[in-house]
Amino acid sequence: MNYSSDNTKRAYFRMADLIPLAVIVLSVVLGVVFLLSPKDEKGLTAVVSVEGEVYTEVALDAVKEPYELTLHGDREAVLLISSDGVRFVTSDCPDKLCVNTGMISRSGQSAVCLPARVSVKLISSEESGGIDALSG
Amino acid sequence: MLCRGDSMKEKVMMNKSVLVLTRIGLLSAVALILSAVENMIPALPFALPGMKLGLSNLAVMFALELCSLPGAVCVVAAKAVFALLTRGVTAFFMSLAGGVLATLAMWMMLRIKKLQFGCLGIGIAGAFLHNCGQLLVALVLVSDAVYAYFPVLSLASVATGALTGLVYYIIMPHLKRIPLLS
Ligand SMILES: [Zn+2]
Repeated sequence: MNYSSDNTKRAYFRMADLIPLAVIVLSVVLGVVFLLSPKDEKGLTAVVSVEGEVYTEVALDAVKEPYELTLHGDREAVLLISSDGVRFVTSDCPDKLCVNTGMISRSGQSAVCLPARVSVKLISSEESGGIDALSG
Repeated sequence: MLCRGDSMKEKVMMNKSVLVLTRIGLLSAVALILSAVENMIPALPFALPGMKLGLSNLAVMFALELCSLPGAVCVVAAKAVFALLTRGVTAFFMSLAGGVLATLAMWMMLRIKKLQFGCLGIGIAGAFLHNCGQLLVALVLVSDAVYAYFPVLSLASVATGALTGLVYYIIMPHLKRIPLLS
């Protein structure tokens, strides 16, 4: 159970280290390509999730006046939804990272309040499919 | 071993398990201190709320070297309980998933003889899988919106992993010289 018997010092860098590095770089590239690919900004839909379930979807084009949406996740959080985008106004969380994220306004962006388990992401309206896509 | 008396054998085994327990305790304490330090670092604006960069992976790396896989898993569990007490249930599962994935990856990399990995490679693989585990739990418990954070977190894990690998590279030889640990 004791592996410390060999006193050879492990080198800081070996050629094999390029393998995990390559895997990470490749997955980052794939991740970026995946995130940036649906770039049809015909209209944005805000998908609001509470406690892991989709709570509501809002087509931002249809929002005339900005309004606040109060959500009751693990903690209470308030979103401000406008035609330009969405942001957390307040949240009962200790870190306030969600509020500090600021306004999200482009497809693929998201804002998350982990303590409240509330999140909102923007997708292009075509992605949300169905009637929304037809009417938009 | 065979020629020793039973009582002697028992005593040696007892001492050994006490020693292993002491090491696990010590390294768990190190992990908790690193986690606490990490909690104090102001979150980067792009970071996903609740994500940890995985500096405490360092303690897991030491545990893998000094007290085997089960010992390292104990350190991961201690870290997860600390996350539960300080940051809640979601953080507990994120810490546990990230910790277990990272531990298994680093354990395999330390053991593979054919391919000799350096501290850098083990550090970044551990940090990367730590992030992946956390993201997977966040995907399930929070929303699939968190995948947007994957690229930037992966890049950040290269930096954290390089750092933990470097500290490991510098400190490990000295740790091995401490009688309690070697
Ligand atoms: Zn929050």
